[in-house]
Amino acid sequence: MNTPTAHYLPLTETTLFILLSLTPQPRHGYAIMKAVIELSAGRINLTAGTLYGALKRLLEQNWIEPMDEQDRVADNPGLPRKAYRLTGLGRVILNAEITRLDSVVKVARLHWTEEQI
Amino acid sequence: MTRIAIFCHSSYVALIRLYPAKFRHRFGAELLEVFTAKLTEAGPLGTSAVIRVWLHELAELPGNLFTEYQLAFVKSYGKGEFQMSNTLRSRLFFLGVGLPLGLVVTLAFINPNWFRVLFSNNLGWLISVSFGLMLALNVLLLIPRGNPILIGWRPALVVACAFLAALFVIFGPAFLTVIKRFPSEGTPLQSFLTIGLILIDLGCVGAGVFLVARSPGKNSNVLP
Repeated sequence: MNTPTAHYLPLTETTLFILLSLTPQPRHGYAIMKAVIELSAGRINLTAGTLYGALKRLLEQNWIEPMDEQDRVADNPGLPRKAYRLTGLGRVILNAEITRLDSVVKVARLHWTEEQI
Repeated sequence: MTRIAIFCHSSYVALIRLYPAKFRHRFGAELLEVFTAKLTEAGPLGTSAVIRVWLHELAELPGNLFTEYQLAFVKSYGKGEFQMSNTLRSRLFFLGVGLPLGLVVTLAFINPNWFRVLFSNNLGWLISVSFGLMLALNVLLLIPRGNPILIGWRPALVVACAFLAALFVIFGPAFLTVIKRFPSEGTPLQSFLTIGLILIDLGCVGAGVFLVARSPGKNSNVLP
């Protein structure tokens, strides 16, 4: 965990799900909200205020970026509202977090089995 | 949209105004768009679903506002840009300082015994005068010279500042008395509230010291 991205980790669950929601395609705010509900199996239901607070911080850290009008029309003509997409840095951070979570789960599985419940 | 949905929508438009100006200008339209989409989706599920959407947003609003104001404050101080440049900020500032002081005055009137050693405690006087001066400095630091919005308010703010400083001088010894007697005298609630208010006021003074330390170059421009 001595990579340059290590000091950004661990991500909050909300941040992780927002980044994950943008992995397959750029999305606008409401679509991100719906995707986060789906990815978290209904556990995380973001309000508009919470969502845009998180998006603002992700934009400031350059983990996501807004799509400009031309890109939006070219990538997805049916996307009427302001959409956001992952940047290269965002993908690196997301990958680092998934690797971290994976190693945590591996250790946990090694020391804990269902029979111990 | 039903009447309830229209009410929720209109009230949310008003609530968006509570966010810091920069955040509001950048994301206000999108916030409203997402909220409207949620309301529209909840509409066919009935009035209770619409109200749930609104209450959910309302419940998280204070936390979101706190976070955004905190970040805006820290960011602008880091850049040395912060100024009381609009009336909302000045209202919030006076709410933060004036409200605790108003509560202190009220509590002091509830329990007059706290004034028993008023004017008899030198340490109390010293601390109170220091508090008053620091608070005065804190207020003056936030008033930029020649600010077009606040220029007419400047004399009033200086008077208010002097008034607050005087309050500290008058009530400071009473604070000390309460601390000395805590928790043996007074109800636990009174003691708890008073100690809490003292801590808030100390926080105001601490913020003043922090500001002076962080922006030495700016002081010479904004202090009268």
